[in-house]
Amino acid sequence: MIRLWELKASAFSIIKKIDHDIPPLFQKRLTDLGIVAGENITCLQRPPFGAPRTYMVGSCVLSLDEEIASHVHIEEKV
Amino acid sequence: MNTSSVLLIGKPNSGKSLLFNRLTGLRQKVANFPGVTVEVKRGQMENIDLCDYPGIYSLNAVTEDEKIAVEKLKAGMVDPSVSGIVCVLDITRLERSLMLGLQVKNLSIENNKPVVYALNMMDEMIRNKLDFDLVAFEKELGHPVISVSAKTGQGLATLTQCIQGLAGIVPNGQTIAPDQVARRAKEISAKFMPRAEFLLRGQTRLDQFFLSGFFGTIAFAAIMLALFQSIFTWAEPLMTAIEDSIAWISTVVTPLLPTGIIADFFNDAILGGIGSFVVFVPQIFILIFVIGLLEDSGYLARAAVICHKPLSWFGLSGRSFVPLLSGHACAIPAIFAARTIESPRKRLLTIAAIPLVACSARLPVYALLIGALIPATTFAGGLFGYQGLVFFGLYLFGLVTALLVSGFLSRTLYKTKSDAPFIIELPPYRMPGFIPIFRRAANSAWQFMAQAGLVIFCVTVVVWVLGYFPNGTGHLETSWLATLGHWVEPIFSPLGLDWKYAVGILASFLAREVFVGTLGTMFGIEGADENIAGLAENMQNSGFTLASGVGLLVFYAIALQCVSTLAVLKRETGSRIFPIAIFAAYGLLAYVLAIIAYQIVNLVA
Repeated sequence: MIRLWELKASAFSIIKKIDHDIPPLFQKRLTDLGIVAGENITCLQRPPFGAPRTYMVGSCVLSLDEEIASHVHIEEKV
Repeated sequence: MNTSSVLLIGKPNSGKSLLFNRLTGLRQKVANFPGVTVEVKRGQMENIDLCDYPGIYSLNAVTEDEKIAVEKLKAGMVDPSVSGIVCVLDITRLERSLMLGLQVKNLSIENNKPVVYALNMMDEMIRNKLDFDLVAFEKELGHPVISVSAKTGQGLATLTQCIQGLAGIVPNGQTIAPDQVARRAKEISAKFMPRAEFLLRGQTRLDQFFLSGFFGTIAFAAIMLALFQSIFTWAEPLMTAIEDSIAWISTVVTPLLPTGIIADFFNDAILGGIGSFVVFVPQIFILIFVIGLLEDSGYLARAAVICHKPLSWFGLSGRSFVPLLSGHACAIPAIFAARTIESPRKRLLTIAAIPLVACSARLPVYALLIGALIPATTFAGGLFGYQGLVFFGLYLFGLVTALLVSGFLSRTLYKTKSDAPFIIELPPYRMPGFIPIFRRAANSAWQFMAQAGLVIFCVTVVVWVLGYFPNGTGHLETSWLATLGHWVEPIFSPLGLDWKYAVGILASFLAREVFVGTLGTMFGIEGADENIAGLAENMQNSGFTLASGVGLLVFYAIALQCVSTLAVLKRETGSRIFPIAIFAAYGLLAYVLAIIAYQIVNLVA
């Protein structure tokens, strides 16, 4: 298992779990946007200098920063 | 006729606001400010009052604007005057839309309030030759579903009809357990839109460019430069036209008026005071128009992503970008727009920074001072000019000051370890609808002009009366205003300014743009020739120095001279101390830096 923030551009993965230590409100927001265990997630872009990265989950394109993407655990698909 | 209200809700970027504009046309009560829908808008559809709320992803509100929308939605459920709900679903993002749609279905059944679903973005389906089984979908939801395209207008007549008959619909069906909503949304979406990702290809390709580290940054810089350049180049012909019209009115109307006090009042107070402000309205309009274009094209969300990292160095977030950009038009809607920031701390920092960015009320002051001080020389084949560069420099100065103040506050007064993370949905790129944006910009410019115009008119009349009496035109130095002015002159004499400027600055604490009108009136009374458009020239002839001008520019760039902004700051922060503290701090900073700037220019020149 790796963190979502570590996922390489264009790589496919499946969400395994989300840390419990993020505030409940933001956990709900992730659920609203489709970031839940079992969903497929792809990294579309990794701009340099620690800028937010773009991910696609379902039919939703999201931009997440390290603060949140490092709390999402995934397994890369080969 | 009895009026009932219908609530319009939907996911952000579902095309809800465009649908609202389409359904209500010009019959809106509140013309909204640029930027996202942050206030409740009301529009008339015959005997129905349609209320547009900020977009929400679900009933779990995170930001202030979402809280407002959820609160109003829940209150509307038990309000007998609300006849039902229109829930907008974005067909290209069906699963996410249904997260909210199914929660609304639950509310509807629990409270016995009818709901109709407006399935928007149908034009995308047609363009991509995709089919959709509307009948089965309607059966699945158990509520009426109307397929529409807010962009092309398809299905709007049917939707209007359905809204009119909403009160007669009885909601039925079974509620879905809250923990099952996500699963159901996924199932329904998979069944009806199995190839949803197909619609995202175009967006993904554009994002590869606009969000890339290198090209994305260049594109961002180019777009911002074009935005500020457009304020000057596009507005130029309009401004000249207004100036010419004022001069024409003066030559035509003045001979018709009885000479003496009435003609003097007309020329000095009306044309000199208000006329010198109206000239700048085209610039305000263009700024709002271009921001509207960027917003509707979907680019602003990308700009927020690009700016997130640099803004975070100053304690702000990518979500602070839109409020800061809107602040260049007017601080008030920008402060409202800060409601979309999840973190209360970053929201407060953004609100504190907004009054420092160069709003359009500063434009007339900057334009006047630059016109009086900087030669209109152009170079590089007329592409650049000194005046334009100084303008750009002032915008940059405002932005840098705003960021530094925010960075300072985030490290001193508003320190905290844990904060809200950055999560933003990237909406699809769309061709903006020029006509609705044009209408919105015209409305905002008109509102701005009406509000500011009233203040300017009142101040101008007072200044004119004080400056005209007791000795009439041409005797400004012996007027009541001069007596008052000489008392306050010492405050601004460290900037090398005489009493006339002191009066102008003090009057402009109501609103910055009053400065131009006040000076226009005073020079109008003083001057033998009634050259209204030549205020800058009058100032040059009065011995206005470069050092004083630079000092004044610095002062106006920082000082919080706007009563309306202070009132909104109080309302949005719920604190009386916050606006007073920020007013005093920025005033002091402005004064000290202005004196330093004055001294430096004096030394160098």
